[in-house]
Amino acid sequence: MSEALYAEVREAVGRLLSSSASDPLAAFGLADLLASGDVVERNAAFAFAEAQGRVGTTTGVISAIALAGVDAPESSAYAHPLSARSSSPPLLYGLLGSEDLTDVLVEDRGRPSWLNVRALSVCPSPLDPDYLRVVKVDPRLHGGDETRGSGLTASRARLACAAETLGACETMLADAIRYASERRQFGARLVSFQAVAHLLAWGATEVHQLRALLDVSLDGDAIRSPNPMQAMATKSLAGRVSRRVAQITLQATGGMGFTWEYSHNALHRRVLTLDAVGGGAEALNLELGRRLRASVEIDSAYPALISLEALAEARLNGDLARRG
Amino acid sequence: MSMPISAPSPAEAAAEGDTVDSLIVDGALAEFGEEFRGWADANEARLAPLMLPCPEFDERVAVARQMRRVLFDAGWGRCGWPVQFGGLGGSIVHRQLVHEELTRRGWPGPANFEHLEIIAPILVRYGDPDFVAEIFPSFLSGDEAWAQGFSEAEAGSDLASIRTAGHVREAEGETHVVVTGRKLWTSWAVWARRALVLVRTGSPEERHRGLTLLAVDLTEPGIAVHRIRQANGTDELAEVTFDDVRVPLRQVIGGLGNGWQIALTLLGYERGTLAWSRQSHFLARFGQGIAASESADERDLGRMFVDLMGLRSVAAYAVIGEASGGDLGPGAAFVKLLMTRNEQDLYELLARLHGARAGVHPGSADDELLSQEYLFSKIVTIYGGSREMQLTTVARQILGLRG
Repeated sequence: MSEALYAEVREAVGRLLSSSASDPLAAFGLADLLASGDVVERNAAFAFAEAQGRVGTTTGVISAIALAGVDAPESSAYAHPLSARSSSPPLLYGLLGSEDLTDVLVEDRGRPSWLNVRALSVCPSPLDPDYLRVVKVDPRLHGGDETRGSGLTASRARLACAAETLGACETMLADAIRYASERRQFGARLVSFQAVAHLLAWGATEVHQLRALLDVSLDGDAIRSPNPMQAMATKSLAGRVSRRVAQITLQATGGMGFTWEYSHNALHRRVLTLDAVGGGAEALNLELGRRLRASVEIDSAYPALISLEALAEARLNGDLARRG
Repeated sequence: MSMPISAPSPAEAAAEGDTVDSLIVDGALAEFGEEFRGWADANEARLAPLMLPCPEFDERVAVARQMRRVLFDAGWGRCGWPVQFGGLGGSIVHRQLVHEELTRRGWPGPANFEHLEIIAPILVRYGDPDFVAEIFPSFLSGDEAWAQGFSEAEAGSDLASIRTAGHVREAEGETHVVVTGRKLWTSWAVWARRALVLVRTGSPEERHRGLTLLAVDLTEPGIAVHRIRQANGTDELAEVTFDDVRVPLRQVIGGLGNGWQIALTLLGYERGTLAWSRQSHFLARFGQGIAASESADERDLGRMFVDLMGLRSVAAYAVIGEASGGDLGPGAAFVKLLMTRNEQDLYELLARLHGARAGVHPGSADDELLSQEYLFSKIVTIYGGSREMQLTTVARQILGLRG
């Protein structure tokens, strides 16, 4: 996806989220984007998720993206296991949606089931309920209605989580840079000390690689046909990068960054939440490691996953087309 | 649709009547890749001896040279380079597709011809066209290798402190740059016919503004190359001394006094676009590691894989950016930081997976190569711009952090 599109969508969403619009999703026309036949327009939905990361808020955007193309009831949402243990069906799910829901799609290892929301019990959670509601799913209800689920909802949700995580990381980094550029110690600004400058440079490097991998993962039609392993790898990287960036930026903002009033903790909790749903980084690493060892869906002798041929073809022809 | 960099016109390609040409002109990378895979399949027996690991450097260079020759003769080694300099047109993407496919098939790498991806783009972009047209085909065909002479004893990270002097003088009716000084850590100079050498044509006070880049024939009188035995047992690096060496003015690359900017562009290739071929090699090594990993924690494999995919994405964009005619600029520092961190993490992982095979006296040729690579991974955060300099570049030039 082009940097220009990202920038455009981010700006538009930034305006919406800071305005009094009651439902930014509706105001932005997310449903239209997701239904669009145009790949670029559809992928703009991920840019929406990224832009949302910048303010540490929550909407049903991840659900909306996950359920794109699925025959879903009107007031529905997507829920994903909070644990990725494969030995037993996970019981706790993160529910990504608004309060007034009727149906929830849960997906366990590619097996989707629609459940009535009344069948779920809401669990107490240390996470801010605005960020994520945790629900318990009775395994007996987990039947697997293949006809109504696409089996790819998890991959889309993972990419949407990664997109929002990227936005949150960029914001944490920008906030820390602003703070360290103003704060003075020993008569000099913090960024003048190499130790601090290098710390922030590592943060920027982490964000750079997450942007690149996410960008590659969204290059095709990620709404209709996400690559499951690529979605896992992207989500895993997002989880790890976000923990590193959160630690780096907290270090650069010192004690002030650890106060409730400062923006850092809201974004930090948000990225931890995003890491928890859709498979945490370590759980995904384990799953990827298993697939690599068994050569499932990938040639483990040369596990490339990403094709330069395809990527360059799309990019360079696109470039030439844009140049007219 | 043709590729953006110096693609030949269809008429030129038709005149050549070459299949490889027409693939490039058509611009379909998938077809190009498929065609190359078909050729590599058909020539498997011929390529096999050129794919073997050679821990001994004289042999490694000889084999790398032969690989260049085979690729050149078949046309694949000319892909991605301008027609006027002996190439067949196309872009870096064509070159990297060929490189990756060979790597996937077990090729241990280009050895000293890695410089083709660092030095050749500079010659194409900034060299005197007549001079480049003369020397370029022999570089592509593997007949003549190049080295890169930047670092000196007192100019490592502080590259603008270069002392090797270049004096512009008239002699026998011709203007020359006369070079005197000493270059250190010059990779692959022992096997190189020519080198790009950064010299001071201005005063020391001018710092980076007084530098000039020269293409020097290393067989000229007054030049001596001394091998440096390295900590991993190899002698890839060298010291090169220059004593009143006359370099014709047309071998000034990019004009007198413009050396710094061109050196930065060159380092952009070394730190940026080169990452694609490096990560190809890492992936192949990782694949071997997976095969030997019965006892390894699958989380470790997954984590390394995710990191490699991050690097692969970053490297892919560096290559595509170059093919689009863009300039990575300071962003190459991101690539270098990620490339080198991955390299060190990967070889640590391989050392664990292969047990005693990495880092100690090895058995087979491939074990010995792996051992060399493991130890070499320890200095990748030093050469080509230290990790600390890359972080400073990111901090100052990308994040705009100033005291």
